[in-house]
Amino acid sequence: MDAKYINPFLEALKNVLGNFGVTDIKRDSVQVKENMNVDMDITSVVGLIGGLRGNIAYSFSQDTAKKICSAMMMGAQVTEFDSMARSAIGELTNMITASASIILSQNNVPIDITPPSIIFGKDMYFIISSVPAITLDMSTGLGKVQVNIGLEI
Amino acid sequence: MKTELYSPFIISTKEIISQMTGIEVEVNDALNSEGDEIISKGVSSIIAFAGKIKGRLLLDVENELAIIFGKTLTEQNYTSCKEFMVLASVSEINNIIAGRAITELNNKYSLDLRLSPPIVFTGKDTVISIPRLSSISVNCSTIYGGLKINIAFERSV
Repeated sequence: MDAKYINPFLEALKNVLGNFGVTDIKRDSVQVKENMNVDMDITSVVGLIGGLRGNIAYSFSQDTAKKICSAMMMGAQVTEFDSMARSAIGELTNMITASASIILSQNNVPIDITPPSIIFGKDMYFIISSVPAITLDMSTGLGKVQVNIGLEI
Repeated sequence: MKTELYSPFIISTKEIISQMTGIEVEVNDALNSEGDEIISKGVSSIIAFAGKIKGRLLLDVENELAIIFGKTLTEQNYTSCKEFMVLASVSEINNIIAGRAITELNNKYSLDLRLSPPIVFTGKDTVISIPRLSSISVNCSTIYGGLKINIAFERSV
């Protein structure tokens, strides 16, 4: 998979989280996975249609998700991963993917994105694409965010 | 939301599962509107679509039925719904159901809908949440176990 399709998502993640005051965002590791065994509680999936077809899945631990929600809500304490917190995580991943789609459009790859679906549970197994997905572990000041990119190209 | 938009998905689910696996699907109840939290029955597959409107189809299948789907489509035996081919079978059935329903909607209402690839997942105490979208569910049964289809639409901004 060409880096020109991957980098916009990393750039968008850094920009959007940076806008909420999250710092120290860097890439820890890259892996290629056929199916994802996610050891984190919360995953938000956004679909891509158009010049690129695929799914992007963002995974967080519950603790990291709550801290990010708190950052998004101007520091208001988030003690429970309730419907407001789920909505915030959905909106965050929508913003990251939309921001990446703008960068891709500027590079002549026009894409449309679908509404985010948030899935939470324990010991989750996912298949997000018919081709192996690229898994990027990103460390941030608020904890690990895993970005799984499954593009059918 | 108009029922005309939902019915192609329900008809497609019954017909595609019957054609691909030979299993008859009985629709148990009418359209129920769903809150923003859906508790998974076992194996779930989501396929989203976008065009003049946006939305997604969720196919939620009990573990035993998912294993039967895998067994029928691949002619192999499986013991766990976490096996790759079991998950892939549910995903493929959902892909074909959605593809057919979307084609009908596009032909009738010129919605220019296109599908994203399906995702499929299983786990313990799994809950699916789709903020901002109102959805309806239809509970169905087969001789091997139950399944649910949940359809959501959002107007494009």
